[in-house]
Amino acid sequence: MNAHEQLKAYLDHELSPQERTQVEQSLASSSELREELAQLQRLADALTCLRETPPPTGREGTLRAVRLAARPTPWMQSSKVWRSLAAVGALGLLVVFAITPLAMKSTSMAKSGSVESAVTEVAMAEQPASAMPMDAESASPQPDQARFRTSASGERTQMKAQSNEGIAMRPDVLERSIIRTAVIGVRVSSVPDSVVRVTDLVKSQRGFIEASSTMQEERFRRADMTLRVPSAQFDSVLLALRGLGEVTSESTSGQDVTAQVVDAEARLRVLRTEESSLIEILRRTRRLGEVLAIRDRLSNTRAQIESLDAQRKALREMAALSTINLNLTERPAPVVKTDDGWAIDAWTSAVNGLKEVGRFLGQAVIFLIVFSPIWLLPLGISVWLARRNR
Amino acid sequence: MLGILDRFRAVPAPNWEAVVDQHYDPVWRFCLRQLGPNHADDAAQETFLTAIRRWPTYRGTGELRTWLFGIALNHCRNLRRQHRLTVPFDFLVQQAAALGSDDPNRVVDRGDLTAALGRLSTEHQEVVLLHELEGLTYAEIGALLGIPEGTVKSRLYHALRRLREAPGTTQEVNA
Repeated sequence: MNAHEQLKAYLDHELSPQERTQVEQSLASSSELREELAQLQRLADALTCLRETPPPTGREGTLRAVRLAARPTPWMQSSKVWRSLAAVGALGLLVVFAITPLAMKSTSMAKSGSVESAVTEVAMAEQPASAMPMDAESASPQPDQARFRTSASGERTQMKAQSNEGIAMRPDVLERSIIRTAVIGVRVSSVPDSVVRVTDLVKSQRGFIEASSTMQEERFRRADMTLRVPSAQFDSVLLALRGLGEVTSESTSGQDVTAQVVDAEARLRVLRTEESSLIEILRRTRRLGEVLAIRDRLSNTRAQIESLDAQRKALREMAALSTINLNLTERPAPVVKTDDGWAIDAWTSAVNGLKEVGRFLGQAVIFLIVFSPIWLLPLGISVWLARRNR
Repeated sequence: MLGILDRFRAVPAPNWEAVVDQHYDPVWRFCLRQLGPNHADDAAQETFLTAIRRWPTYRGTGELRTWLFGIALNHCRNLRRQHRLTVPFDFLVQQAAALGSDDPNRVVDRGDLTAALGRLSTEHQEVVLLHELEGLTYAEIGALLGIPEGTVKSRLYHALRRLREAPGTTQEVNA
């Protein structure tokens, strides 16, 4: 920066002390610079005269506008809220589109499970009706709903209290009912020998083999066995199975059904009480209409008793006997390597590699097409914006 | 790292009526000098309304006035482009004459000065306005225009040299 350029900054007091001194030295030695400085000063003075302005106008209008604009907008009216809601909605829609194929797959898999749960739900729904108390006076087929509800629940809690007392006195019921399941894969030296050993083991533990199948694979044999053993022996049997060979996979799970068993028992008690009271009523009644109504209800109650009893038995049995799914595989016989064609090997692997790449590319194209709603929209918008800004 | 954090730190919203009260006059004068009397009111009001909308982007660094001037400068540039306006030096010179502050013995010929100012490039006009008329420091002008202080310094010097060299002004100034 030359001395001339510094002159203006010198006038404006925008120089560091060091620069100031330099400029002052140059000024002292150059009349040309002094003349320029004076001109700049006069020009600046002339310009300073232009600072004068008329008094400001429009202040009130601005104050009013600002008062309006600065007032916090109610959130319902805020465009930001709607914009973000719209964004979240669009995102949710995209996610739903992306997930739907997966979800459809998993629902078909879960269908059997949901049927089961639906059955239990139905059983639960029927339960209050069966627990309905009957007395001779109100034997009408449709008692009013509210009364029926309160009396039913009252009866039920009472019965539960009773059954709890029973549990406290009977240690075998107190024992938790847990359905235990294990899946274990073991690699053994010989599948037939192991199958024999497992059969002996299960028998010695008072269990049984529910299903068993042996298969001959290409280079080794394998066996799938479903074992049922008493729950108390579950852990020791599992331990013995692990000793058969090399454990390749193992998972255990437990489902506590104590509550379900206790509940089923309580409901059974309620139903049996109802059954006996119905029989008592039936014995006293002489009018044909009432007899028919009570019989109808009695058979209904008995059917429910049967179903609950079966359910309870099933639960107990499942809890009493644990299930072990055993997969036995043999160590494969060593492959005899033929060393006759390295060129062919290389050729084969190269061709396989090419196939893999081709398959991958094909998949990528399919994915791009399927996901086009997701990337096509932003792409279109950005192209549109780019065109508009051009 | 701290810069990134600063970017996300919101400055609490001020009392806007107080802000208008305090800054309306300088902002209005700023707009007047950029656009002339016909558009100054609109531009000043729009500046404050924009400031309210853009408040979340205010980082609280530097003076509030400089930030407001930055918004005003953008508005004025847009309005000038939109209405094909030039910086109203003729108005300013007339105004100075009307208010009797130009000393005929000292000041260059008014018409010549107006013409000379009008011939400057927009960049030079802006630095002359901001420094000589608004009285902003080089640092403030640099922040406002987004250029280094050194550039402000040399732009200003060259702008004044153009004015000095313009026909009709030289003799007067030299006289």
